[in-house]
Order: sequence, then C-alpha cells, then structure tokens
Amino acid sequence: MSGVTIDPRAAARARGRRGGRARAWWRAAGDAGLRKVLIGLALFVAVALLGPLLWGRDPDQVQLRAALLAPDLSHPFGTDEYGRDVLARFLSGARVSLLLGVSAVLGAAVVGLVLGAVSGFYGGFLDGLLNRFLDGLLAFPALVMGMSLALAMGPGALPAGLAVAITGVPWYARVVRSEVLSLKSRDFVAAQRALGASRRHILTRHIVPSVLGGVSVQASLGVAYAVLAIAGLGFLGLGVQPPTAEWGSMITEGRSYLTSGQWWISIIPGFGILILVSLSVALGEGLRDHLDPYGKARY
Amino acid sequence: MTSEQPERRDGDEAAPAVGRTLLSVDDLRVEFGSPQRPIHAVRGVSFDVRAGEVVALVGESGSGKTVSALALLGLLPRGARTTMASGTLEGIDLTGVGDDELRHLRGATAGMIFQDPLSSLNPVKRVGDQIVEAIALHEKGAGRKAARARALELLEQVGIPDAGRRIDEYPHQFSGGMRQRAMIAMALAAAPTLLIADEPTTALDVTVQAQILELIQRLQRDLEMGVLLITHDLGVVSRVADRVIVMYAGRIVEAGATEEVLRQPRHHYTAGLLRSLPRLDLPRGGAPVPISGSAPQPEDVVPGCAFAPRCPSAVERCAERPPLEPSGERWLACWEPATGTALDAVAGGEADAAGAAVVPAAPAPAAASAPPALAVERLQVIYGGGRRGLRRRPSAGVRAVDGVDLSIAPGTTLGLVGESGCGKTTLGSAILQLVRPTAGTVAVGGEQLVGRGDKQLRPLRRRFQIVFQDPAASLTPRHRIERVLSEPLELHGLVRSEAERRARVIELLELVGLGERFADRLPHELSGGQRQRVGIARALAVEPELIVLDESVSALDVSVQAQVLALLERLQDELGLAYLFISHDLAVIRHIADEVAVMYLGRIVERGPSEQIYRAPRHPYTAALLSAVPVPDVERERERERIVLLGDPPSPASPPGGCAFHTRCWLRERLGNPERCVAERPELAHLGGEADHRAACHFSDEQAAHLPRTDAVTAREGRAA
Repeated sequence: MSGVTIDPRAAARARGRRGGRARAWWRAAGDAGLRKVLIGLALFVAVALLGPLLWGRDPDQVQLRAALLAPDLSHPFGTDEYGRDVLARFLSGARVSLLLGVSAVLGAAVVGLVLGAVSGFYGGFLDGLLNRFLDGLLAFPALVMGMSLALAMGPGALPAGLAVAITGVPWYARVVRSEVLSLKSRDFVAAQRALGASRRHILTRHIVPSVLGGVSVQASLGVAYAVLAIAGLGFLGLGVQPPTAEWGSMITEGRSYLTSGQWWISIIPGFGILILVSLSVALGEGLRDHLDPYGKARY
Repeated sequence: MTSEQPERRDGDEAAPAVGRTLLSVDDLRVEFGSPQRPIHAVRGVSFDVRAGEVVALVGESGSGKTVSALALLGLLPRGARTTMASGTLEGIDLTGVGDDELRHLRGATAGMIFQDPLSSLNPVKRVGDQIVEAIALHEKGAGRKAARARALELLEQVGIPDAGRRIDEYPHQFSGGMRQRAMIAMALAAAPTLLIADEPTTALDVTVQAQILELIQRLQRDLEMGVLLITHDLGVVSRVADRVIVMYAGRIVEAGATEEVLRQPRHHYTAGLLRSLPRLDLPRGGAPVPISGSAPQPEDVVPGCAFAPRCPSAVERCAERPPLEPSGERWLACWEPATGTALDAVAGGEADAAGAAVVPAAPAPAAASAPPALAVERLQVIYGGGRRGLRRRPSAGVRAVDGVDLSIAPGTTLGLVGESGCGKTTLGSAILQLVRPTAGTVAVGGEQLVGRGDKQLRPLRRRFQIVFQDPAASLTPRHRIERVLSEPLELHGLVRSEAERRARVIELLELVGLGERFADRLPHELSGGQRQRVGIARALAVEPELIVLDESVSALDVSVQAQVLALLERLQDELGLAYLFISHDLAVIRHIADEVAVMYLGRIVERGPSEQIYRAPRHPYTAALLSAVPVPDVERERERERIVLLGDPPSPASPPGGCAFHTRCWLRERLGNPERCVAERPELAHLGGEADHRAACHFSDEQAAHLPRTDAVTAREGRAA
C-alpha cells in the first residue's frame, strides 16, 4: 500500500486510455474469479436472445401426433404432451425467466436503495415511518403476495413480476439503510460537511456510490431468488399463462410424466433454472470480492 | 501505587538479578501468502530473554515485531509459515512441538497481554470467571473455590481496588486501565515465567500508561519474570526496558543495553528514529528531523541493507546486506555505523533550526488589530440534555464541553491537550459547527458562526477546515485523489475551467509534497502518511485561515509523523495559517504549538504560552501529565521523580463537584485535602506576569513548592548549557 508499490492497474490508469482501463478491469475481474462467471452469463444471455431465432421452431406449435417423443435428432430435447418442441420452449422460456427475473430485481433494488438511503441518511420521523412500512411488507411471502396480486389483476407475467419485486424491496432497503447509517458517521462524511457540501451532495456523491457495491452483490443473488419465485408462481399456475413457455410452468406440465418415463419435459427446464441460479449466485460472490474497495489488500 | 503521593524512585535501586535464559530463538522467519509470491513478515531474527529482565522489541508498523512474538507462541493464522534454526522456551524445544503442547506452553510458561484490553476480554463473561477459566486451563485439579480465591488474589496483585466486588463485574464496567490490569491478571493466572506484552499501553492515556508500566515493572521484580515488551514508543522503552532490540523491515538492526542504545545509537535507523521523535524534554528549538521516504513493504525483495534507501550515510557497500555482528555488548547490522550520541544528533538539529525557531515571543503587533483567526466564548455542548423519552423527563445530559474560551491569533498554533473523554474532539467539532453548540459563540476571522443555518454557513466553511486522525476513514474509499481535491474547488466555485481545475489539483499535490502521479490513485493505494497529506491538501484547497488538526499525526509512525509535522510548519509559514492542534501527545504539542490549552472533563484547566506551560506548569493536572510522559533518555527517565495519578479520569456524565480534578489531585493531598477544592469551582484565573498564563486552581501559587525535584525541562537545560 505504499507509494512505491507498482500496481499494474494503477499503471494502466496512468496511461489514461479508456481501452487501457477496460482491459485493466477485465484483468482484475479475472483475479476475483469473475471472468468465468461473466463468460457464462454472456453465453446465457446469447442463448436467450438468439437461440429461438437460430432454432427457428415455433414453441407453441401443437403436433398431437408427435406428442411425448423422446429426445432424438429432430427434437434434441424431445416433445411434450401436445407435441411441442421442448428445445424451442426451453429457449423462449429462458427469455421470459431472464427478463422477468432481472426486471423484478432491478425494480426492487432501485426502490429499496432509494428508500433505504433516504431513511438511513435523514433519519428522524421519516425513518420511523418508512421502517414500519417496510416491516409490514416483510411479512408477506412472495407467493402470498403473488396470489393476492393474481386475484386482483388476473394471473399473468406482470402481477408475478410485481409480486416478486414488491416483496424484494424491504431486503434491499434494510441492507442499504444499515450501511448508510455506518457510513454516515465516518470521517469522510464529516470532512464533506466541513467543506460545505450540501446533504444531498453527500448522499448522492459519497454515500450512495459506496453502497452500490453491496447492493449489486445482493441484487445478483436476488436474481436467483426471483427466478425461483417466478417459477414457483408459474408452478402454481399464477404466473405466466399458457401457452407462453416459462420454465416454472413447464415443470408443472411435465411433472405427471416424470413417473411414466418422459423425464425430459420437467428435467430440462429444471436444469435451466439451476444454471441461471448458479450463475447469478456466482456473480454475486465474485462481485462482492471485486467491489470491496480494500479488497486488494486481502491476504 | 497505594497513595497519590508522587513516588520517589531511587536511581541506585538494586537491579534485579538477571538469571537463566527463558526464551531463546535463532533465525526466526515468518512468511505469509503463496510460496510463489511470499510476504516476508520476519526475515531472520535471533534473540533471547532471560529471567528478571525486560527486553523491548522496538520498531515501526510492519517491522515484524508483533509477528515475531506471535510466531513463537504459535498464535499466527494458518496461512503463516514459521521456520527457525532453533528455539527454546523454558528449555523446551520450540521447533518440534505440536499444537497441543504449544497450547499448554502458552499461559503456563508464557503469558501474553495485548494492546486492546476491550477486545481481548470476552464482553459477556464476568471478569472473575474469565480469570478462573484461565487458571482451570492449566491447573486441572484446582477446585472452583480455590481457583476463585486465586483469581481474587491476582486481581488484588494487579491493583484493582475493591477486588472482592469487582471480580463479579463485566468488562464494560471496567475502565480502560482496569481492563488492562484484568488482562494482566489473566496472563499471570498460570504463574508464567515469561510475560509477553504487545503494545500494552498504546491504547491508554498517559496517566494510566504510567500506572500500567509501574505495575509491569513491579510484577516483573516481585515474580522474577522475564518480560518481552513489544512497543513503538522509545519513551516507554527507556522507562522500563533493560535491553532493547530495534527491528526494521523484518530484521534486527541493532540490539544492546537500553541506556547505551538510546544514548549512543550506532545504526542510522535507530539514530533517525530518535531524531524524528518530538521531545518533551527539549524546548521547541529541538525540531524533530524526519527520516525521508517510507519503509519497504513485506512483499518487497530487499537484497541489501533495507534502510539504505532512506539512510543519510549510505555508501556503495550498503547494496550488500550487513550481517548482525556483536561488538562488545552491542549487536549491530551496519557497514558504516553512526558515531556520536543521540544528544549530538538532536543538538545538531537544534543548531540548524536555531535561527528559525527562536520562539516568536508574541504575535506581531499588527495581529492585535486584525480579528483573531478563532475566537470561542463560553462554548458549551451538552449531549442528550433537555426532555427525553416517551415521558419527556428532563435529563441533565453529558456536558462534553462546558464553558470554554479560546482564541487563536492569525498564523499561530494553539495546542489543545487532554486525555480521552475530556471533550477535546467535541470542542473541535463544535468549532467547525459539525456539532451544534448548546450555548456560547464561535467566530472565525471575525465572522460569527453560531446561530447560522446550514445554507448560510456553507459559503463561510471555506475559511475553516479540518484534518482528521484516521487518514483512511476521512477519504471516500472509491474516489480517486484528483476527485477528492477537485470537489472542494467545485463546491465553492474556485475554478472556472477544466484546465484550471487540473492545474490547481496538481499545485495542491505539490504543495503537500506529493506529485502529479498521485492524482489517479485511489486512497487505499497510498500509505498512511501519503493519505494524511491528501487530507491536508483537501483542507488547503479552499484556502482556509484556520485548520483544526484533530489528532492528525497520532495514527502515523514516528518517522512519518515528523515528516507531516514539518509539512504543517512549512505550510503555516508559507500560507499564514492558524492551527488548532488537538492531541493527547504532549511532546508533539510542545513542538508545534505557540500556545497551549489543557482540557480536563470539558473545561480548560490551564492556558498560556507553550514554553511557560512546559517549563512551569501551574495546574496540578498539567504537572501530572508532563510528569507521566516517558522520554527516550534512560538516565533522566530512571532518575526523575514522578507524579503518579491514581485511578482513571471520572466519567464526563457525572463529573465531580467543585474542582473536577479534586478526586485525583496530588497537590490537594499534599496540602491536606482542603475543603475548598470540593466546595468551590476554581475559575480560569490570570496568574499575573506579562504573558497571558491562566490556570483554574485555587492553589496554583503553592504548587511550585511541591513539584518533583527534577522538572522536565530544567534537567535537560542544565546539561545542555
């Protein structure tokens, strides 16, 4: 940590090129074991976006004569009870899971960040009020919230995503609030006040950026939770409605065939969920190591 | 330690007989990290400790002193690789012992005390139970009752008053000093022959430090133990250690009898360390001379003498590593040993600085007409006062600052001294309006601050700034240095263009002795001293007239501390800054301050020109503080008579009535405990004479007659003359 230490990242920065900085970031990401995860995630996103186009089959096309076919060359993942191609449904299901999961988490994280930062930083009556409200939200499990929203709005992708997002908010708000409370009493905040910075300036320029690392770690772990919750709602029939392919509902549809030997209908989307969840957990852990501002002194 | 009388210690006190070797180690090495990129914490260290002697391991942070001790007791984390050519503890070979055996050796033969007594005691267990547990670990047969009786005996032995009651209290009910005593009692539980003390007094106030050092010395004599004392403080070393081992970058550079080494350092690092220490026993002219640069990191490969890059007398041969060789009683690793005495070195500095450092007797007359840089009147901060809780019961609150008057002339330094909890940091925050004062006024450069709203205050904040103690915590971790320094410029609209901003950032970096290359760094990529320089540069960015320095050099190593002090003095000369320098370190204050204010429990008890206060303190508390600070001069340290205050500072939540100091006052006891001290609170009264010297003591005129024989300054001056 001394001035004479030659840090390759610092050296790259000194060159002052943007490309240099990106390359340095990539190298550092490798140190944190993040690189494999990032490659995996990129592959997953590519499959979700491009897969359906490349495979080219309609995931909803019913072919009753071709029902329950075991995997072979024309149907690598087999077909379901209506003769729909499982690979095509798997690929378009990936889109739904990714889109719904990620947007639910983003929504929850952003709202939670704002609520937590405001209540932690300004404190007082507002803090008390927000906390009681969040405590109330915390009492609802995602599934219960999903059922009530499905009742009110009719089942579908929107209420499912909304339910997951709303029930996620308190978790982010809590984490952010406690982090802000501890940052608020640090000397660098006092130094900013002494310099004459406004409270909003301190909150947005100094405190929120310091909290972002923790939030992004939690958010990437949260994607796993969201995907599972949406799949769970789909499994109960409260999520994405047929015939749209979604991994959770695909598992429901296939579960009665598990015992009769047509394992592929359920197991394939199950693997999909497993892969996405593992990737998002690994991303969270990698980010946690990478974003730790003192992480480089880790021995 | 049984009375509050100043203790007389005779210089010719019989030295304890130095006996058999308790601990001996040869070529100890410790590595961390991967074998491909090892981090060398200790690079080959050999020493021994005999019964009845105190050996001090001295070095700055990262020198490997603590790691060496921990390695010997097998206390390092799993990743560490310890090797040694040979090592014995009480005749047991340390090279071949397993974990279990080592565990038994810890405690049974070697007790250990740590720096932070709060975190080394278990907060949820009673103090007595923790000691009983320590006894039971090593005496399997001991019954519960016998162990408890022994624990009580130990607590009495380490000087815990009312031990019978306190044995059942929890650590949080103990004060810092008492906790350290309890830790010592635990370390003594199994009657070890060797006591390893790792910075045992670093976290304590000076008056408490004096008590703990006395205790360690007494125990060492009574129990005929060997003590391995790990410390960075050469003053502590000169007070208690028989032998001293100086470490630098994982190796021993010099070892020998404390008196010899401190009087006549032969290694340039030892000499530099002594020179860079602000001396309480020298007037302001004896400026500390910093060692340039910073120590090598444990991951660096050091082929030659590790100190060579910073050494003023380095020669070509220093590229080759000098072996640690004996010359008489001394061991030394240097090709070109230093000559002369430490005093010469300091005196040399004195001569150099003599021209510049003749203390400006009074601020220039012109300053009298200009408004003072800081004027504080009857300032009061009460925490938690008013009506509190659901039932709105009135509470008195904690009077952290209670009616303080201060003023600082432009371009001068006021040193604010006090022990922890005296309210000095709160006073600093209240001056900066980071904490809103309950009453009183604060004016900076004639502008009244109290009573203004946040928005009105903002433009005024340009005029006064702060530099904090912990340089790591005071910089936003994710902001590059350029951004740290740009922000204040932009907040106050001090720059108009991008080019101007960048130029100003570089100018600021150069002003504090850092270069342009630091602009792109993150705070954690800098060393502590460099970070503190950035903190100073940030404060300077808005061109203030007043800077509050809140323990700003306390967290730095001595050699780096001297660098930062020199920087602060240069900036004051160049920019005409006024400083409020808050510190617990009396030597640093003596060196930097023109005027000094001493604080005790929220009030100023003595205030006046620095030289007068250090030469002739008029408040018994100031006298006790000055007397408690150890100085790195063995002869003086062992001959001088010391005022030892009993007990800890009272809690500011319930300060004693009358004179707040009366519960610990040695002078009051000398005078036969006059009732007046309890009944009436003394005002901060002018003492007469030309200078504005004030003290809040009813008996300040009678103190001189009772002061210890050898006063801090007179002894030294007599000799220097």
